[in-house]
Amino acid sequence: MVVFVHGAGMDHTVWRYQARWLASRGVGVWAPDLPGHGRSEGHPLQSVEEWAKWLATQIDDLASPTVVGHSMGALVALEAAVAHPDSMDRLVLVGGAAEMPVHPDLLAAAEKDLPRAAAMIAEWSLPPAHTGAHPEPGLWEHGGIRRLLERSRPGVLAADLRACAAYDGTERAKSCSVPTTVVAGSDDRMVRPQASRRLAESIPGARYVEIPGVGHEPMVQSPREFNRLLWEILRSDGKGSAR
Amino acid sequence: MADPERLGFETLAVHAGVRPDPNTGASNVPIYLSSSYVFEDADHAASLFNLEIPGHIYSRISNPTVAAFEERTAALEQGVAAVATASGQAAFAVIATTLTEAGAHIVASSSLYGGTHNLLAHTLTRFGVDTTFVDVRDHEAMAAAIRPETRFVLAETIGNPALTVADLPALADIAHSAGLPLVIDNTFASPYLCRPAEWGADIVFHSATKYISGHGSVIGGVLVDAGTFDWAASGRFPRLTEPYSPYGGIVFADHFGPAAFAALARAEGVRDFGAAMAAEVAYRLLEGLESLAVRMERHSVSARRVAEYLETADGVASVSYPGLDSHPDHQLASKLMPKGQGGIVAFVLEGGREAGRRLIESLRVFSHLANVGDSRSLVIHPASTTHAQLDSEALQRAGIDEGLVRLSVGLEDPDDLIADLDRALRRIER
Repeated sequence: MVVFVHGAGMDHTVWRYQARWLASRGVGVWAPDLPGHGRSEGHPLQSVEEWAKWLATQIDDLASPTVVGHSMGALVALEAAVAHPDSMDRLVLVGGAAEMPVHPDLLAAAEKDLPRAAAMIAEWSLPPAHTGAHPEPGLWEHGGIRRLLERSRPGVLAADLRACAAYDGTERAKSCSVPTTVVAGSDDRMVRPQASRRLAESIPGARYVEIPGVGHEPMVQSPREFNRLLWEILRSDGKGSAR
Repeated sequence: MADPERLGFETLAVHAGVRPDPNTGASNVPIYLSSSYVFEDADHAASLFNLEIPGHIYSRISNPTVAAFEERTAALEQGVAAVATASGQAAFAVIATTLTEAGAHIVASSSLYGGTHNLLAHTLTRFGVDTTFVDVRDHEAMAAAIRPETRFVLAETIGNPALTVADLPALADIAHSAGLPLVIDNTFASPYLCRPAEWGADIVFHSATKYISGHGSVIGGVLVDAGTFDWAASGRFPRLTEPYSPYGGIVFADHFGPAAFAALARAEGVRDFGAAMAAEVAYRLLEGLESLAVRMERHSVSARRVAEYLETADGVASVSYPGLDSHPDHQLASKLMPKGQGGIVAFVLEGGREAGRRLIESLRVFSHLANVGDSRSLVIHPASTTHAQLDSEALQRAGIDEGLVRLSVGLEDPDDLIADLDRALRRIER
């Protein structure tokens, strides 16, 4: 069973190249839209700790899932792993770092000018000059990221970014006991790969994998390579099998 | 000042959709002349066929050179994804068949390209899809024509034959209020002069044969999904919002998010009807896009000069060019197309059908043919060519004056074009 947690202002569609692919191979998948996001009702929570508590409650009944979090979702997954180590078997943190400070211009735009904030995130999420050649024929991913974020409900992206900025997982990471893989895109300018590497170094026994030529969403920009890695992780020893 | 978060049009026109080739370092996109693509293993093949992962299978559905053209066009139109087709006609046919089913209805502007009109008025009706044609300037009538079974609203940015400009924000409001997408043919404007997605259009298409190619060399079309329409909220498009059995129960809107329409248009429309673009054509269109901005500026400047000349010329009853103060949509055209109003000029000769025939035969620089958007200047007189089978009354019913002449002003020296028209108009007078 794999649980996917999306990032700030986004929804489950960022996992489109994993969800059906895994399901077709007999792996259970839960890729929710977080409350207040996508087509889920409710309101966004205000801190990574609250999101982690929500996540732990949601996955409580699942038999040792692998939790895959992206960006803000990586912070949520990390915090859930530390606060509720028995809730999951393995952890995969994508485009994440222990600290994810948010540029003040981005935060201001998220509060007042959503299209501009969406354009900033698209620009920083994609490789330099974002000249494309996406694996999905005909997809202009810069436009795709922008439209996805522009669809978010008023205030949701800003609330998510504030939650990211307020969280410091540096000390928390050191006490993470769940087998962890940190995945970064070599050209990520939202969360620099160096910061992802430092996160991996602070989690005991964690593995760091950098996917070349992609930005903040390696699962979208390099799905073949990402899925190969994910499959390998799912076949590796998890917390349960190590016990 | 340029917005640092968004590359400018001219930069995207040259760079978007293409990366240096990883194997050879080629900076320009190769022409991939390959009908099909080798699968890594059986599992890879299965996952491609079931739309689990992206990639190329067969060039009828997608091709790397064509994909570069699609991605660049999507970028230039400020959309999320594009699907290229064998012609502009095919692009609209794919849109219409993707959005409708037997019993469905379309509301369309009556200022439409003849090929689009034929498909809607004669061919689709045989499959149970009806269209109501409405004066695009009559917004109340557009709204009133919408029925529960209507699936989309259609117009052209600059419409045939009278160069009527569609009020895109108003049409978007009308369509969206009824839970419908707005579909816009942006061929005459090109994405350089107007990006309908910025004014509320949800799906945009082109005959790429025209300004995108720019040289009268190839036939091609492209549709762009703006990624703005909420298919689930509309509730009228179950093939996008409910499990689609041919692909293992995929729900396109759930799976592809903002690019759902483009995904279905490719996976069903282009796959089933087969109107695919060839790689060589896509390569020429990529080159066309690279010079689109400079060409459209020149087309617009020259067309305005030709139109201004015609307004003063003897033997000309009226001139229609959205860039002229005298055009009823001039203000709207200046708002939607601030960088120029395109290269198409229409005018009516006082001498009617015979004057039109004589003008055409006297022109030397203008080529007499049925196309627009070429580097060469083109002229057509509908009453003696495309609509020659219609008598005066029938022409009137079609909204075409017997003396109507349409020019596509090319990239020649505009002085030569004006001199050519001046000489030909004088010959009619004699």
